[in-house]
Amino acid sequence: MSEEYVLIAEDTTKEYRRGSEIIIAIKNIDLKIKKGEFFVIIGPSGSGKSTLLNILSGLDTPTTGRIILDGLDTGMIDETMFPKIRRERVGFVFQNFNLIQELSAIDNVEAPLWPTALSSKIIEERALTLLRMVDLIERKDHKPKEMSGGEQQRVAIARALINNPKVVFADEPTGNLDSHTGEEIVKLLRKLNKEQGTTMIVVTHDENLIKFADHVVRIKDGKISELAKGGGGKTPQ
Amino acid sequence: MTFRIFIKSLWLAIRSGKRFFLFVVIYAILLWLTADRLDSLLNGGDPVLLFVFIGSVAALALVYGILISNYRKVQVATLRCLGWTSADIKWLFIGELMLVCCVAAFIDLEIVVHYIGIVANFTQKIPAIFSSTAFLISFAIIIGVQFLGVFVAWNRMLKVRPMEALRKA
Repeated sequence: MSEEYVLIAEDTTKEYRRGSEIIIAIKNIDLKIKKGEFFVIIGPSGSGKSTLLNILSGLDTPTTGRIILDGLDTGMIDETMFPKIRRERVGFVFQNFNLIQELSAIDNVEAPLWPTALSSKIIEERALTLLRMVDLIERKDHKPKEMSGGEQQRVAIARALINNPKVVFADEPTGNLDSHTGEEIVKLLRKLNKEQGTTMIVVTHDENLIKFADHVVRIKDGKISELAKGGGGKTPQ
Repeated sequence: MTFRIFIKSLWLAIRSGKRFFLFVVIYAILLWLTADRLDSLLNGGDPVLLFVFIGSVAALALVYGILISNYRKVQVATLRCLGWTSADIKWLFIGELMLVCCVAAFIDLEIVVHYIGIVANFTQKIPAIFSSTAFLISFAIIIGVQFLGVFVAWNRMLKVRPMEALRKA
């Protein structure tokens, strides 16, 4: 039943050309991710996990195979429609947070919705609710430079959720944080995943995140080497 | 929504600090020189210098476009990941370049008003500066030329895939 899956990758391969050489970044990937799952893609540096994330999220296109994101075959969608689909269905959390330095926390959270037809008041209300949810309401007017790494990542998580996405893609969300803060961030992602039912797809090389996952897929040399159940987030509760 | 992005782009430009103010000063000087030469041309003067100044403005717009595209590389890549379209991104650049030109024109007008006031106070005569027609035409030329900068910045930004830009940053 495809309705229970928010993301399906079918026999997906991505090749790059480097000079005369063809590099196979990922090969024959088959994945099915259920709605509301906390899904971890784990693998060492250069294993192809970020390429896979880019392809799953529609930021890159596969050489062969197909991706079905929330019922939409991304290969059938016009290139110009992708931003709209990303805006409506997908959220991103980055390793480097990627907040806009000149903007306050609340402006950063609001930014994805600025190009939409929603009124500024509604956007502000949503941003305030999310900042409250990530426990940063008192820092809403602070600039990223005035916040710690953990706080910046919490702002980035609030930003990823402002459009009520079906899926949030997190690319090494703990990569630039110390282990304690990193664990708090993953706990927050897990909490939001449970409370809001948003599917979370986390790419990492950190084995500690497995305990939070519903499912874990290991990537090695561009191929799935293992698909297993994770800890289901029981440990941190 | 385009208006909202345009307004936010003005804020972003002002908050970018030194770069913004440096270019405001350079544009103010070039606008003044262009208006002065255009006024001279309208009164039968030599057009060569006018073309030199317009060329300088075009070159400056290019430099500014390249600078913005470098400075905002990560910002734009992030916004594209978050669902901004290329048209939305374009408004970010239009806002910044238009604001620089408008602030530069405002500074020139302030200087003109004060200069006329001071000179008239001491000499009881209004000094000869470029005409308002020359100033307005020069301003229109400079605004028009800015689209070259917008195009350069925009084109450089959209060439790179957003995730690639973020990884290189």
